[in-house]
Amino acid sequence: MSVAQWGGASAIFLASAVEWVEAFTIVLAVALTIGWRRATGAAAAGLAVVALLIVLTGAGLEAAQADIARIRAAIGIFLLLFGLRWYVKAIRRYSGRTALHDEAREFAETCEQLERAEGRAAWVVAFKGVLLEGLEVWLLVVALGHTLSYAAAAGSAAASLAAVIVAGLALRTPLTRVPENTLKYLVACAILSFGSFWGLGGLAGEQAVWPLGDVTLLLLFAAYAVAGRIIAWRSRAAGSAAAGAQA
Amino acid sequence: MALACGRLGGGGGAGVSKLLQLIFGDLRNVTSVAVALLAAYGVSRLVPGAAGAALALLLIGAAALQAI
Repeated sequence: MSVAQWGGASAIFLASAVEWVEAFTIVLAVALTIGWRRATGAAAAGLAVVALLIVLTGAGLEAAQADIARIRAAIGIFLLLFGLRWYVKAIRRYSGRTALHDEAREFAETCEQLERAEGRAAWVVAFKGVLLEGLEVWLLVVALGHTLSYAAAAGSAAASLAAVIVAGLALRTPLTRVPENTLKYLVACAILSFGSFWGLGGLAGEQAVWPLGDVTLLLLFAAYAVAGRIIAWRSRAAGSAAAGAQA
Repeated sequence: MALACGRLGGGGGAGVSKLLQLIFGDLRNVTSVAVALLAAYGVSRLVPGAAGAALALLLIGAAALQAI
């Protein structure tokens, strides 16, 4: 496998894991309210919609005979939009400007909301939760599936789902020990790297703007990873200085 | 998660808007990417080898502005 293929498969697996953990937390909370049978039914319905989307999109991409440079540019721009959003969020969490995602708190809040809801509404929460987290996975499979093969990309997301389900069912508690922000940050750096490589390469010619080829992906990843941590560190220091001046 | 739990009910229009935001982020995010790409494309017309570095620097700068 090439650098791009390894990067794509790893990014899909890790990013999917983050989304599946969030979905699992919702389903767990709903299961404790309306029972495992109905909660898993709702989750399965949500997953079925996501699976259908993945299959339909895959068939559509196979059928499309568009110019490869245009496809790369479009996917690259989409990845930049998606990646920059995750990158900024992760930096803000590292710098303390946004609270770290807390699965235990989310779980408690969901349970509290569900206590006031009827069984049907709880089913909808599980369905929508899995569907929405699954939609992000679908977007990543569509975008990054281009690096390896569409089937391998979907397989990577499915393997990630299986890993989260096994871990979640073994523990039967929210998966609080997953270093979610670190995973999101690394995935954001990978997505930004692919987005930069394909977005600009598709628009201006890959060989002209990226003369080093696939190796550039590693350099871009390192640059985004280091720069993001510096931004977070400076942001945290600025926040501390402002707080100190006020005290 | 917040999206899933925050809507035991919820209109379709709001749902589409949230879905678009889920995919593309807010206006600042879209503007940042558009400006960075356009500027890098401009650089690629003059000095192709520097366009990639320009794009990375612009995106890092945009992230810094949004994060701080």
